[in-house]
Amino acid sequence: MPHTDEQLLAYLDGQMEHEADYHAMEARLETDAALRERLQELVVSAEAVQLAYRAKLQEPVPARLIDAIWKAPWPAQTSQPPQPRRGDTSPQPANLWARVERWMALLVPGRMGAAALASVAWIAVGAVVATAVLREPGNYAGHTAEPDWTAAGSAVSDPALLTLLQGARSGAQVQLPRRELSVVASLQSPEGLWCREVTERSSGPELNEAHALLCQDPAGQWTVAHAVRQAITPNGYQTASSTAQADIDRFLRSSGEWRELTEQEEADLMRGTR
Amino acid sequence: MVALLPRLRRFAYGLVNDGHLADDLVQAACLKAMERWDQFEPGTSLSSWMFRIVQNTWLDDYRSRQRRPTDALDEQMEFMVGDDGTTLLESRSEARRVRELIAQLPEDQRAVLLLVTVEGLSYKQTADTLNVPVGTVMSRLARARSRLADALGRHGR
Repeated sequence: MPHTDEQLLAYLDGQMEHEADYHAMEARLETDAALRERLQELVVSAEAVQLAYRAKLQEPVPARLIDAIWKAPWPAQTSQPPQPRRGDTSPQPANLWARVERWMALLVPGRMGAAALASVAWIAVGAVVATAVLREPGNYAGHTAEPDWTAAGSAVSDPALLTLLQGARSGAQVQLPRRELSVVASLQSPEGLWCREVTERSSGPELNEAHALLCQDPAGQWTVAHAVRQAITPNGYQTASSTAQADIDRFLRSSGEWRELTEQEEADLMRGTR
Repeated sequence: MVALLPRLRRFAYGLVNDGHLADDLVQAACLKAMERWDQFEPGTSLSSWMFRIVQNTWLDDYRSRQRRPTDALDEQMEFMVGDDGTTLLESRSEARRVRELIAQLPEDQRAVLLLVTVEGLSYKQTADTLNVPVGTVMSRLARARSRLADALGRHGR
């Protein structure tokens, strides 16, 4: 009874056109035992189908797949990729990082949301390899100075930061020509959002360091929850750093119940499968 | 956030029912997407666009590589779930059995089933992805789901 199945499926999948269609179906279900039985069969088979592919989603993406994507030619509309700097000892990460940024930059003029940006970062980086590559500090070519992103409440649009937030495990560090970004920890906010603590050492106009907590809303947008940026002098580095750290700790203590994410939760965060 | 690469792999795996071939397919599709990056319309769904490229790449380049004909006849379906097949199937895990059943579906039904039931796309998104009317999505889905429900229901769980 394919025609009836069609209606039952639209009911199950929440794809009926009008609210009245749902009521009509429920009225039929109430009086028709065979229809209820069929609905049950369709539910059970849908669960079986979903279960049959669940493990596949959890598999790490093979390195060879990500590698092949990195090595592919540049998107047609772009100009020449930035050349690795002379004397660069890690050409592969340099190329990778430049590529990630290039991909993201391609999307920015289209005014796509951070979620879309992050999903492109995902294509280019992939959780597994991002962890492996970003953990190794290296030199990355092709990056220009970013405006300060640390205003509380502001949405993150900085591609490098987004990539790190979405694609790197805690402890990961990435060195760019004028700054160094690190993910310190992954946390759950009192509101239940998943957040990451990040530091940035920047040699912008002056040497400075930022400590920040950034949280991801359900739509995928990363927003600065709290941040401090302080100028540091070469001699006073330790002091400034620990002051900023203390400020973050104070914020965490005073704003409710925060907890650190488990490894699995952090992996889910990067995979986007919360 | 849509985690595209894992989902593309899963979709491809559902289409070809072979892990290695699925990754080859995803790789080819991603390279194709990069070549055609200027054709992507900002503001539309990136995942739908990518699913479509995977699907088209499969139809264009990969389908012919499969050892087994993918346009299964009803008789083959019956064989899969019939008495002859039961012993064989019972020795496999439930998940594998379901994947085998899905692999026996006609390919247009299989793509719709994977996009709606596994990937959670709406009928409209699926229609856009496969470039067919919503009514076609509904009828293909119903045929696929009917066959699966019949097959799974008949032999219990």
